Amino acid sequence: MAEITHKNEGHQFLSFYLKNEMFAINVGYVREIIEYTQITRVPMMQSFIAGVTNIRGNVIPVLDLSGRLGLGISDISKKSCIITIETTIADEETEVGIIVDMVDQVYDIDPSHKMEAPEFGSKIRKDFMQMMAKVEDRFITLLDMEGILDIVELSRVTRKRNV
Amino acid sequence: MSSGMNFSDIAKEFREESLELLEAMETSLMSIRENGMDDEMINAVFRAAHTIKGAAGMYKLDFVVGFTHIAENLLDQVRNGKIEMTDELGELLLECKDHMQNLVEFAVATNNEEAPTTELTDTTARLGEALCTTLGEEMHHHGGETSKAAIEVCADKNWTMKLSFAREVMEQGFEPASFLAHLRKNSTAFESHVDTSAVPLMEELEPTACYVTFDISFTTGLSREDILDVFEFIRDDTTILLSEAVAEVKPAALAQTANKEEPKKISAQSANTQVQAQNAYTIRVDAEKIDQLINQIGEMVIANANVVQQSIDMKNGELIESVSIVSRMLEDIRESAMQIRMVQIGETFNRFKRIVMDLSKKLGKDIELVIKGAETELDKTVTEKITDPLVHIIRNAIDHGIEMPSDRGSKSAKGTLTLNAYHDAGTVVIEITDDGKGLDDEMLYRKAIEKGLIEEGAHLSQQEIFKLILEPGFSTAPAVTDLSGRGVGMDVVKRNIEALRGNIEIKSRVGEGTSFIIRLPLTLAIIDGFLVKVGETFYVIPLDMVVECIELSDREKEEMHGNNYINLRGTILPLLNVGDLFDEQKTADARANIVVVHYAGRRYGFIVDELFGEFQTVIKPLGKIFADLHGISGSTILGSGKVALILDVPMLVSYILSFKGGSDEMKSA
Repeated sequence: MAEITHKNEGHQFLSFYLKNEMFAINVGYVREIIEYTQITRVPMMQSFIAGVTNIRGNVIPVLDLSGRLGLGISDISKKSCIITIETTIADEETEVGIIVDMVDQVYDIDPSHKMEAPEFGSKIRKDFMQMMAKVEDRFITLLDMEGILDIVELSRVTRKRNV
Repeated sequence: MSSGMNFSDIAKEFREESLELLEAMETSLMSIRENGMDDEMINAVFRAAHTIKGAAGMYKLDFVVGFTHIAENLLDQVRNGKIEMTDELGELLLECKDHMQNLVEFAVATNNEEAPTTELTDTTARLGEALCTTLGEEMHHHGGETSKAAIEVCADKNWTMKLSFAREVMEQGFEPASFLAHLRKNSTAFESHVDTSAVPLMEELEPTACYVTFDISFTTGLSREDILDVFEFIRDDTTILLSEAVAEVKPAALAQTANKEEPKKISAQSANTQVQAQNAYTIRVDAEKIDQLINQIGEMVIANANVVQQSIDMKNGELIESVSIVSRMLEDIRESAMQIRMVQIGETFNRFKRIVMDLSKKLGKDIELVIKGAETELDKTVTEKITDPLVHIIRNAIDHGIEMPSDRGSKSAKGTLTLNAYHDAGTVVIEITDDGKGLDDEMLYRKAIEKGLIEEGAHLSQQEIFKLILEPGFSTAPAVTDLSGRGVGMDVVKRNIEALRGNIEIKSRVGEGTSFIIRLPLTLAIIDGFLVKVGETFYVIPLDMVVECIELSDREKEEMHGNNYINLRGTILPLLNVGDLFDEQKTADARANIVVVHYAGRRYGFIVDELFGEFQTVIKPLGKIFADLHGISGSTILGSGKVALILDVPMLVSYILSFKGGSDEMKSA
């Protein structure tokens, strides 16, 4: 896990909306932002694994971020985007797409404006949150991609009724 | 030879080349053992040793050179018929080959910065002594001194040499003096005269050109080949006149000149070198480059599929025609590119001869290895990954399968182990069969309960019981030997084969023997696929496995009465409803189709919605997130840019076979 922490070092964060709530991830992870494109569902996976898609000839997995955070599966609209993330999963450089409802902008967040995520009272799991930040009088949840992209949880295959 | 050469830069290449040569050495030695002495074979062994010594010498791997040199001397004597090749000598040479391999591996692992371990020097001393005894020579020194002692085995001779380097030698980055320095280092006496008569006047002088020639007389224990090898890198452009200064009747000179008529090769050995050069016209290419090429062709196949689709949409006859020509050519190119990766399995099989020989000797068993289908081709990556599992199976067969000669009853005292390979329906089948005591399913069953692998009273088919031996922690050997029986190994077999998308079947009869039947995909990169649609998703079935497609009529649906099979021309065809299994949404008006596939000698039907026909498929791995997903082996990109999923037929078949009946377990069409 140490190899991906450097992606957390910068102070720039890409913000986006999920179910009208604002979240952000460190731009160190972001490779590109593309329009929502056709996704092929992969059977027997958990519902927040949207499937796979073709990005420049590579087949990459796509995660429904809202679903993963427990906020319910995304409603795809014209503003829906896929942010492609570069990360190391099980020692392998991997590209993963995440679906967001709408991309907002990149914020410079001064470390002094960051604060610990609340101990309780948040509807998303604590290990998905890195920090909270106050930007323009609003709170943004800075997401922890390590927890979100945990391979053990992502790769879990759902139980099929016949097996 | 030149101090500027850095070992770490070429270590990988050196290792690969040496291992290849050592493998050739083993193959030749094994062949001599089986078929008797053969000049060509012993020459090949000699050449391998010689080349390794040469390469090792270049990078100053003295402990490799020293040891290899003694072996080479002995081989030279064998080659000249002065020492007779016996089975014992063959074994000694095989042991030497192993030791050379260890030395090379050690040198590479330590970057030649460490002195060999005591274990290595001890073996060098022991084998060196054995070699020298055979040679009829006394070893004067031990251990680290071996190399010196070895070189002294060959008596010193006086040589004269006329040496003129090419003018450009320095421009090519060589330092002529370093070659001479190397020669001097290996000579007891060394005298050189420089002939400067060719040096032009100052104004015409090219400062980077080499004008001087050398007259050298020296005394050394090196052979003629060794001396010429010093100049190996620049040999093509250098004129070397080498003669032995002893007043013997011998052809005096061996001249090598560039771009001129090849001087007549006098020695038989040079002639052999030429033969070898012709036989083995191969180019060593980095596997990554081939993978890249195959990937690029794959991209092109995808792009072309798009062009085909558009040309059809445009309904332009001429365009369709042209596009189809391009498609055909692309198909050929793809085929050729895939061929590059293909190797014959024989090479791998040959490696097992040694294992069989060594093990059977150790255990006091008499076992003959029979190899069939050595010319069967499969992907190099697959061969590499299958070697380990095969070794485990073979060891097991020799250790536990085949009985001691006295226990073989009415069977011939000599056991037979057969390796067979052949192509079958887009897969490669490898069979390892022994005529040993076979597997006792009752005993295995009891043992598995004892080990807690299965529950008391569990109902298992014979095949399932046999497969228990592939489970981790399952060992039936009464005594743990150092070969097998520790319960590790056979589970590696299962794991590796599954990782290759292959499958394993075990057949056995008590008292008659056991067969391991391994099925593997031909290649890991591209397959011909058959495109179908289930719900909203496109799926690809490997075309080689598809037998036919039939429409599932309503009448037939009724006749199924909720069972999961149909009557196909008088035989029962078990069915799998892909849509149900994968929870695909049902399209209202979809007529069901059945794709009949054959796998492992049986037929199965997959129920799908729509059929689209053949499709060239570049396999794109799905990545770690989908590692636990069974039934899908990968993905591919369609002409439209959409991703289709590749069905893993072996997995789905085993899923069908897992049906044990009962309506709650079945969801029919």
